[in-house]
Amino acid sequence: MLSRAGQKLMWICTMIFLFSFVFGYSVDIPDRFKDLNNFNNLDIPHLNTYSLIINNLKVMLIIIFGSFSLGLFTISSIFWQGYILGLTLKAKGLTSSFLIIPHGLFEFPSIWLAGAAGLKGPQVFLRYLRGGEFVTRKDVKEYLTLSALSVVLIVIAAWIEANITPKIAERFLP
Amino acid sequence: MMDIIIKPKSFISENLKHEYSLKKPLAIVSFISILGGISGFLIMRKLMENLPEEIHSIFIAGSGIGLFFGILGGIVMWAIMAAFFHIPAVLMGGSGDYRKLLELVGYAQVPLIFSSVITLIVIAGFAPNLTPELIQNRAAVEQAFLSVPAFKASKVFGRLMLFWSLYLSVMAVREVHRISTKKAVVSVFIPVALYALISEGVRRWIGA
Repeated sequence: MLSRAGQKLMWICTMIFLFSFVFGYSVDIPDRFKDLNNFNNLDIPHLNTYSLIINNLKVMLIIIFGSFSLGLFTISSIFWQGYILGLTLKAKGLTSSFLIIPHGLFEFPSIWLAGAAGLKGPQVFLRYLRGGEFVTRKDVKEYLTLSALSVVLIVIAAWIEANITPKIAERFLP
Repeated sequence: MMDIIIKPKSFISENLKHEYSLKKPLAIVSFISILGGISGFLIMRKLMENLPEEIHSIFIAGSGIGLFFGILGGIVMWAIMAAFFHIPAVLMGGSGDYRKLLELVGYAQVPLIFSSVITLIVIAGFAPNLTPELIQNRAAVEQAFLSVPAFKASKVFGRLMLFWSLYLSVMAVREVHRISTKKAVVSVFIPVALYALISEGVRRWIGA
């Protein structure tokens, strides 16, 4: 479904995300910022599907429309998402991955797909600079497909985060 | 490359005879961004002097990330500005190639190298003491910098270099698109004025 170039973009986004995650996980957190360690701060009951969809969609839209900033906002947003995830896992401990994995299985691919859409702009621009075509119908189709897929996945992720994650938290975490 | 400073008109005319090449303009834009990044790092180091040692690693990591995105941002801004100069020029009857304009707009940034070097020297030598109370207020930080005469002078010099760079961009737009000087001035100054207005609006909005 994705062109070779589209697949390459998705791999680039995955790599940026993983790199920033490792970076976030390896940064020393000063003691005074470690109050994140308390799971009571999570305030899970206030999260509902609608609010999560709205919050996540905002991030997705920045990543997708980052295409028009030639990928600058796309890369920085993906970097930020991975960095915060790394920082959070370090602060809360690896057990918190119980709370992240269920919706993360949908949310992370959603970020990478949105990232591939966001990097479509710079890819087309670089192709044009190398003497190729500017925007083709195929580019637009791929951009819209990636964006739509990413939105669908983020909605599923939000539903899981609002309805499944709290149950896991209640069962497995003190 | 320095011909763009000494004899810009003949440099542009000569350049238009060749196929576009973005290597040198890319180097110019990247160099300016790196200088800006180093200036930012020096300010950050000055800020760290008054902050607890335990958060220094976060500041250093932040500076590294800032430098990376600063370089990327400089390159993106160059491409976007060239596009914003290109669109009005085309609407006013210009027929030039965007890629050629992009190349020449990159060369037109050479004066900004001078102002970036001066800013770097001034920051290295005259940066004011930034206390933790002061750094919570961006306007106060700006005021602290402007209270140093060397910074005021470097700001004025920076503005002059910016106008020189814009003048070179006007020449580039005029020659690439084969339009009148008046139209080229409009093509360059409309986007620049809009950018200045929007960035001032954003600054006020975030309370800086």
